Amino acid sequence: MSALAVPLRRPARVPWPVLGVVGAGVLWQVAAVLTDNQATLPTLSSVLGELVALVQDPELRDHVSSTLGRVAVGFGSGALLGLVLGSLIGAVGPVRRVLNPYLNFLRAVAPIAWIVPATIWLGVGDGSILFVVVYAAIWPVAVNTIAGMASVAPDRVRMGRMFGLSPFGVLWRIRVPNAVPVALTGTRLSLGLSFMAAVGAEMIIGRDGLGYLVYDARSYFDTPLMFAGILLLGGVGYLGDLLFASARGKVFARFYAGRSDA
Amino acid sequence: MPATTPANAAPPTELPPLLQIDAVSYRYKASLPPVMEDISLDIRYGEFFVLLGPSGCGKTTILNQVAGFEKPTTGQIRVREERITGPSPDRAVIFQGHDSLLGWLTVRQNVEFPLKVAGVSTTQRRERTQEVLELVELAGQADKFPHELSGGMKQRVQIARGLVTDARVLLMDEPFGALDAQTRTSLQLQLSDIWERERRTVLFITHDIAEAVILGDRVGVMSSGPSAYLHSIVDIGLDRPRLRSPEFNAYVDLLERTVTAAKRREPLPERAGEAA
Repeated sequence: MSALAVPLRRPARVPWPVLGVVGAGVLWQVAAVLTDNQATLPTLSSVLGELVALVQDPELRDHVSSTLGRVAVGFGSGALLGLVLGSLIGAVGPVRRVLNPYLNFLRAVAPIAWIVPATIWLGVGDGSILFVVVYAAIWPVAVNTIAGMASVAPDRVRMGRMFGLSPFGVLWRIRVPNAVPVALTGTRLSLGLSFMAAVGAEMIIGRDGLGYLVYDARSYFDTPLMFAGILLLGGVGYLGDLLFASARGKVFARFYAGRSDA
Repeated sequence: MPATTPANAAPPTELPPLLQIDAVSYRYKASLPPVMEDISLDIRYGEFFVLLGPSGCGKTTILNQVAGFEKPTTGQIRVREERITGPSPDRAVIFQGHDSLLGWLTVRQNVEFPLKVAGVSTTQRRERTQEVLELVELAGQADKFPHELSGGMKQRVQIARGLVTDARVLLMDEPFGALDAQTRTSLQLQLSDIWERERRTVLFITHDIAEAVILGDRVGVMSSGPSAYLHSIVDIGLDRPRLRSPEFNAYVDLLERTVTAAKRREPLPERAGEAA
């Protein structure tokens, strides 16, 4: 027997994600060149050119910061409201049974549909956009918080009661921490949805923001700029989600101990 | 005679039984036959009582009733002559599964949990927690999270959590049921040793005959259900630690015959009692 261990052959690593992105880009460029109509399908190169110009344009910073500001305020307060609402509903059985149909109805309404009544109540402006963003953020958090609190293992609650926890103690020391991972899954969904709601509302009544930028480009038939804006939307949303997921894993690590949904 | 038995081991005879199960019956629904019927049983101070029976005989129900999680349909259960109306820190349950361990707390924090709820001061808490962690040989794992432990270790965390307060009664519902045979045997001997040192009163549920012989002072054998009844009580007169020996095997044999008779709901045949 040879003293030297034969190293196992490792398959060469294929950078699939990079290949996927480059492949799609090539397909886009080829399709655009073949159809040869900048107004309906601009070439990727022209869109990327617009994107570069956009990123360098100081005006863009204002659009990005107004959208992100709306998302921050709307998502922050909406998620908080959803958490409080979800905890209350999740903690009290009768309240849950009474409010569940309302909850399911309200979350089935597309947030953007509220832009119409919102403008009647709050006028055409930031207030109405924020209303829609808050609305979008509340429901995923609330629904998931309720689910997380309901899914506690019966032995956990028994253990708490046995060692003398009050009903409030069971809520605070067992049900709430038990709900953290599921509630945070809802919060992550909320973040994405409130970004989308902000962009949608900006398209309809905004005077600035990324949604306004894209819609405005369309009205001037500046299709490359419009696509550049959409690429930017996807990029900002993707980045926000990544940041949220990594912050969540660090801040709330202990609540994910031993769970597969970390 | 076992040299390790402390002087206070023998329950003073003038005391009433610590735990009195008095004519307890239980049905899920009025239309169904009772799960068990007319169970009466006294458990003494400091005793290790094993309740042995086939599945479906209601032994877990009895434990849940003693814990205060469920109520008997008729009859009552008393601790120190007081009727049980709900769960209490005085009766600590060691659950069959691991769900009751809180995944977001470390081993130490889990064991400390009952003391924290009871409002014990930080220094006392630290000290007592360290003591029991050493008793169950988990001091080295104290800062791990439950999911990082093996099944046997998790059950030792539960045992430590049950011992950390001065709970008078430990209620154990097949705590080693899900473990492999080797871990199981080692935990049984360890529990027997801990019990000798701590002398808490234990009600231990199992369907494993050898486990009953290793652990029990007395073993109550349930008949099969429905309408299960307490068939007989066998005294195990063996010194601890109880390792395999001809006497040990004689008790296993006796319990096997008792369990067989209890399953058929027949009285024990003639040869009974010869091992005792």
